[in-house]
Amino acid sequence: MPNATTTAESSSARSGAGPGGGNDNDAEARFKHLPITLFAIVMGLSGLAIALEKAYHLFGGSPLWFRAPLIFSTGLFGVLVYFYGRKWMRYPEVVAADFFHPVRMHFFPTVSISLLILSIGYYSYLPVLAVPLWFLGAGLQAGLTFFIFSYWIRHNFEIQHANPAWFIPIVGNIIIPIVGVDIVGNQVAMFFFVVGLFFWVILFAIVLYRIIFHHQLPDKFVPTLFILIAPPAVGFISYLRITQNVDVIALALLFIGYFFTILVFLMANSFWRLKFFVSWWAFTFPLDAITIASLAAYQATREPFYAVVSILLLTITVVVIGIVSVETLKQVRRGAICVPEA
Amino acid sequence: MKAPTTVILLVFGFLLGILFTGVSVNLAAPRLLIKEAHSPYDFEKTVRVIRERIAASPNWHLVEVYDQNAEVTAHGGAPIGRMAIIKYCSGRYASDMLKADDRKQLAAMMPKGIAVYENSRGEVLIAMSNGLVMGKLFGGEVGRIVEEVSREVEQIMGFMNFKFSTF
Repeated sequence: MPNATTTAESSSARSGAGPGGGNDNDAEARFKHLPITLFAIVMGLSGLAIALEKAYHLFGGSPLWFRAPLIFSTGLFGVLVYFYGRKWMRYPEVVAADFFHPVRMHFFPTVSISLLILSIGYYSYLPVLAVPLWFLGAGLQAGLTFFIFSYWIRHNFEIQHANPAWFIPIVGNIIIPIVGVDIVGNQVAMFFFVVGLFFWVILFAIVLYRIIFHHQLPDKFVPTLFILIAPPAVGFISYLRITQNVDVIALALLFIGYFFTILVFLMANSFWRLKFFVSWWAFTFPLDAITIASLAAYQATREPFYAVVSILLLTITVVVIGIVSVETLKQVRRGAICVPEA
Repeated sequence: MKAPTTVILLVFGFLLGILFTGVSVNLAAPRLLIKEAHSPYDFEKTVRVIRERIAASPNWHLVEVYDQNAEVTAHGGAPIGRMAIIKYCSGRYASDMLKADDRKQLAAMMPKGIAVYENSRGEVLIAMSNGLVMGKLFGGEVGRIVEEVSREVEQIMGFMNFKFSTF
């Protein structure tokens, strides 16, 4: 299996000179380089909408605060599906190269996860819309999970390919029960929950081994360290939804989530020095997830501690998403988003 | 792609979307509209705790507790096992909801009810309509009032932790 960076570069090079190609400065050619990672923006914004909805439900205020980002992220999802669909139709070999790329393939479940997060968001607003979104997202997520796992088994990977983005397909399975438990019942929800949780533990050991004993993550992947927060935080919410109980397992998941949150904040210096990449959006969904988990903990226990933590985390999440949004808009204005990878 | 082909695909996709939405909502509806959960207590204690918690809530009062098994058997039905239906109401929220003519029809779903029952395995369960989802289906002022109601119902049912809440 070739080195990830080399493959990424050669894939980009191929895409620049492939059929239907032409001058990369040309606007039409630009979307040939539209990255699948852009769906992480939908995840971040719709996750924020859910956090704001929970805050509205628990503390009051205006429902517009959560409806606006929810509707905006739905529109963005539609726009991205349209443009990525066009890219797929016009440059199928580029999409195929990304889909079988040892690193980029793990970002394809951001599409199914976006659908699932939108279904959670709409469950508290337009429940009838949440149901088809959930079925689409869960079906796609299940398909991608089986594909990626079978791909891992059938192909050899190098240890440097392992990075926290490998958790993305796993997190998707843990998200499924949040609305799924009300749509298809406990048994199906439990299936996805245990699959997600089981492979989270296994992959965590692999990724931790790679981080500790091998070369440092490339700068572009440093923000993905935030993804370590997501599986336990989402796991806590799912567990709560399935068991309707705050017990020792629920608290263990929540506190592991808190541990990684504190850890990444203590490592803030590693993040400040980074040049902006679209991968900065990897900061956002995990922060949404731990904020929603804290709000859910408050909702379930009414412990003031969780109210304070929730408000603190919600503030941080809003600030971080604000910063990343501004940086993304700057990059869009500079035309630096849909370009071949350096 | 030629224009007529695009139009045909769009129309076909639209119709497929309607079909998919209809089927998926129909599949989900039974679980979506009624919520059921295990009680941490036995039958008597569950009924007692819910009664006490309703009585202790400032905006709420107990209307009636029906022994549904006794009702059924007294009127010619076969026994259904232990089942209590706890009816409770809030003067404030009921007034908000029913004072407008276009919302008076919602009285058909009032007062709110909680069913407590023992199943054939001896488990004690609690069921109630998923008011929050129903409120969202109505939307507008009904949705707003139901949002406030659901906050307080969550407090009443807090002994069951994460009960009947939204996501």
